[in-house]
Amino acid sequence: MIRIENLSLWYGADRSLPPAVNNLSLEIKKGEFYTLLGPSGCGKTTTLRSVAGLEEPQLGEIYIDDELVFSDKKQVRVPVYDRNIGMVFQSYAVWPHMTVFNNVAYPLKNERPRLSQNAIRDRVMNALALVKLDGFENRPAPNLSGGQQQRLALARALVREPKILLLDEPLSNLDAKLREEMCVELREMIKRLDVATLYVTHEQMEALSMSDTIAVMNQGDLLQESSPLEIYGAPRNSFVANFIGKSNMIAGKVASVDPAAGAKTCVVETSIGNFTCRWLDALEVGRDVTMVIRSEDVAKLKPDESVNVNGADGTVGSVLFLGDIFEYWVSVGDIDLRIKLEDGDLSPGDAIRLNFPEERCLALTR
Amino acid sequence: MARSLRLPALPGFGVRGDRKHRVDMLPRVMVGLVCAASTIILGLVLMMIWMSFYKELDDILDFSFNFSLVNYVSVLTDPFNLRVLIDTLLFAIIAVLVAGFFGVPAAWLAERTDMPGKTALFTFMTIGLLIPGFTVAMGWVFLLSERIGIINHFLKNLFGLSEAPFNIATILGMGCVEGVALAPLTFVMTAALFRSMDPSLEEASYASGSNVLQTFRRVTLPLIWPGIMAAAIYAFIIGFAAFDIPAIIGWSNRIYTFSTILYIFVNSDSELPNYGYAAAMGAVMIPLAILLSWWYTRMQRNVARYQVITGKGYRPRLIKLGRGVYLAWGFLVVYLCLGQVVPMAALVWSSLLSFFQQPSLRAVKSLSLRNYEELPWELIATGAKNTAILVVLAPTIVLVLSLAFSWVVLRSRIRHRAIFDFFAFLPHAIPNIIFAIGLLLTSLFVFKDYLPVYGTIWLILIGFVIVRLSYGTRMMNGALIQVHRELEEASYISGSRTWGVFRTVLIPLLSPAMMYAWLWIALLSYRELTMATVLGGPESSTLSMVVFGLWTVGGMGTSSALTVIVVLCLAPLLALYWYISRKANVIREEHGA
Repeated sequence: MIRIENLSLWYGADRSLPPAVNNLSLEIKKGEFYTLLGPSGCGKTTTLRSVAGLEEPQLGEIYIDDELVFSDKKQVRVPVYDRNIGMVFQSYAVWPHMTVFNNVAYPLKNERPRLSQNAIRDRVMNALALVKLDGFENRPAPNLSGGQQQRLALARALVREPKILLLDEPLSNLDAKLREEMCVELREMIKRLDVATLYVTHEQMEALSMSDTIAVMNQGDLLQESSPLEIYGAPRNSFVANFIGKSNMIAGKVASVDPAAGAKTCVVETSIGNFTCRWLDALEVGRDVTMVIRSEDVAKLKPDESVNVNGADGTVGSVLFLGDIFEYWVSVGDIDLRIKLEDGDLSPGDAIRLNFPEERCLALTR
Repeated sequence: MARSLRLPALPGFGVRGDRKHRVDMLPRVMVGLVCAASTIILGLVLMMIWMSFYKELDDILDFSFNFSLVNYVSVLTDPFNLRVLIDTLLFAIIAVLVAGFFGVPAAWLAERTDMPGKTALFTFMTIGLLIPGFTVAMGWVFLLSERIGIINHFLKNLFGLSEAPFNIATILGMGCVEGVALAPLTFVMTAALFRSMDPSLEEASYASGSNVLQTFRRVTLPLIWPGIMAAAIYAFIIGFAAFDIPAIIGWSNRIYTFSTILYIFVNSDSELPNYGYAAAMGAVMIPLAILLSWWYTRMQRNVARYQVITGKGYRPRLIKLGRGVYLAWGFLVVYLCLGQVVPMAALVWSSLLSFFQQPSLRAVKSLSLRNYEELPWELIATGAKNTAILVVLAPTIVLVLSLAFSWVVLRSRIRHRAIFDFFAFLPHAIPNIIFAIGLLLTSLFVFKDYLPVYGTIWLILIGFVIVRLSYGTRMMNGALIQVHRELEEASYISGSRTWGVFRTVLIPLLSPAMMYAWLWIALLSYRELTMATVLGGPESSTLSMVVFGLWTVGGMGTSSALTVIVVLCLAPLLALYWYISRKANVIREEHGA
């Protein structure tokens, strides 16, 4: 439904500077919930706005529903008002001088040939019912709460039954509890409507819980595109590993590689000892790598317990109580590690013996 | 087509050459309007500079290339011009000091203390903004002129003096009157400043153990200083270019400022108008004017750094005045008397006397409405008709153009679009009279056959539109910045073209600011004198010009009477203005006078 090929966009005329979006390609199928995830300034919103037609890229092609809407080579630039897309903005962009009804009816009034008043009314009411705002149609739009305005924006985006839906950090202005509820609702609704959805966010939890596919972006580049499970469990590089979840990163060098076929493990030499790690891409001895282990994957051993491999001794630096879990900062040698444990019986200064389970340690090239 | 020639993608600006998609016309129209207006503005300045290189009038008429620097040599070597320049600078500096003396404390009282009667204060200040400068000037002539000044006579009799103690027709006197007239502007600008300053900065100072005075000295004043400087420069630009007050007060005593002397060069009774000389003098002033506005813009940027933009409902800490209330209102009453009440009373007094007399029992007995009856009603009817045309059309055209300018500068993606903002600001930077003269010369020499606007009201209209464009674009820029861009983008996404975005989203959202700006420009057009006198002819005189004409031929009584009528006609407009501005609740910091 949405296909982007080799898209590049520079802000400003100087093409020797790094672009905001760099040679990006992706494809979103019908009914797929596709998320662009990355820190601010990574180019995710720019990509989404290019699909909408609100930004004009310099290079590449964009197809919506197999129709070419932008191409630099073929000089095709379908204007934004002719693209028939639904979009929810970060600020909701609910028009404050209109009622709820008029906000939702607005896209329908631009339809040609013109729709009858009754048809408009029916479709607006359906859209409002879909987002559970029926009964609010005569309210001035500013008299809605944040969550309701968000639903209103969604109803307006969906009222024309667009083939694709673009969501630009739609939940970022809601408070935490409401955001969780909307996450569930939004995903259910989109699955029911079977519409191709491009979702942009910098919140990893939103991305992990809602998406079919996540693409992590940084500095204009698409770094990894996979399912939420894969992107969490098998990050392809240290940026993705660090951006999704809280990971410990330890610099090191490949000391030896398991010679057995299909073993896919290696020993990484670091300043705090040697550790056996998995790899995703084949590595050779002597390669500089980063060893990655998530804070919840580090295990605590009893003081007298010891393991053959991947053990380390440290000192507790500080303890944070996070409600369901305790987070410790532990110094091992010259490195500070963040680990999550269920028991809070350690105090700053206590000695702690750690284990980095082999299957949880990843060796990633730098 | 080469890529650089293509209009870059505005929202909805993008299609070429395929019939499947609708074309977005409005952006093209707006770009066209903006280019046309910018060409005219720039053209007038260039016209003026071009003229300045001609010595002989005939050469201008023949379009010969007989250039010379002779005008510049005589402008720059004439010691009289140097005196006028120094006088004008002094005049403007005095005006700024007086305006600041009254305006800044009044603004502080209104925004940062618990003084009662703030609504009244704002009302009086708004009236002060709208009362024509020549009204106040005339009033002060009746009070403090050497010959007939009421106060001078009173003091002479009281102390048995042989000479009048005051003379209004000096640079000091005129500067003070200009300052009193500019005080409301300073008030409005600094009040916005006090209002938008983050109060937590002051609270942090109190929390760090500083008292009120220390906090004011160490925190409030340094924070507010760039804003006060910006207001001072703004007032200075207006004072430097002022025409009406120096003309009304100074001419009789041969005290000239820059604008009045320029006027005389093009409108002399005794000699042929020396256009080339006037053009050279104007051209010499342009760099100074641009320098001043550059300075002003820089100061404004410093102000923006400390401003609270969120507009969240915070309440600044109000200082309790206690008994100081009496002192505060005493100060304000002194200002109101000097700025409005006393000069207006003197005007009314003069308007009721067929020849000017000092207040006495005998004079009271001779009060009559003779002046009102003897007014040249035919002239006034023409003036009223022309003024009405200007008051309706000037703000309307300015608003349409300003919307186009602001949209192109803030919303389009045309390359180098910021330059248009500079063009729109030029008319504020350069004294109005320079534009008036540029327009006069253009209509006389370039367009005389093709576009016969010379001596018609349309020429004045063009002039008014050009000089108000800077104010209109400032207002529209300010309002458009506050409209979240996504509101428009949502409209494009919903299938609207730019015209639809304007009709359904932008104009409804901008309408309070647009109404406010319209009315303000209408009121300024009503009181405008400078451009009208330079550009106007017998057929195109405005009400202000009729007043000015009566005054210059010595009709003190009749001109006073007409002024009283002019001010009274302002009342309903003022009421409307007050109503709309309260409703609009727009930021009132960008007033041009």
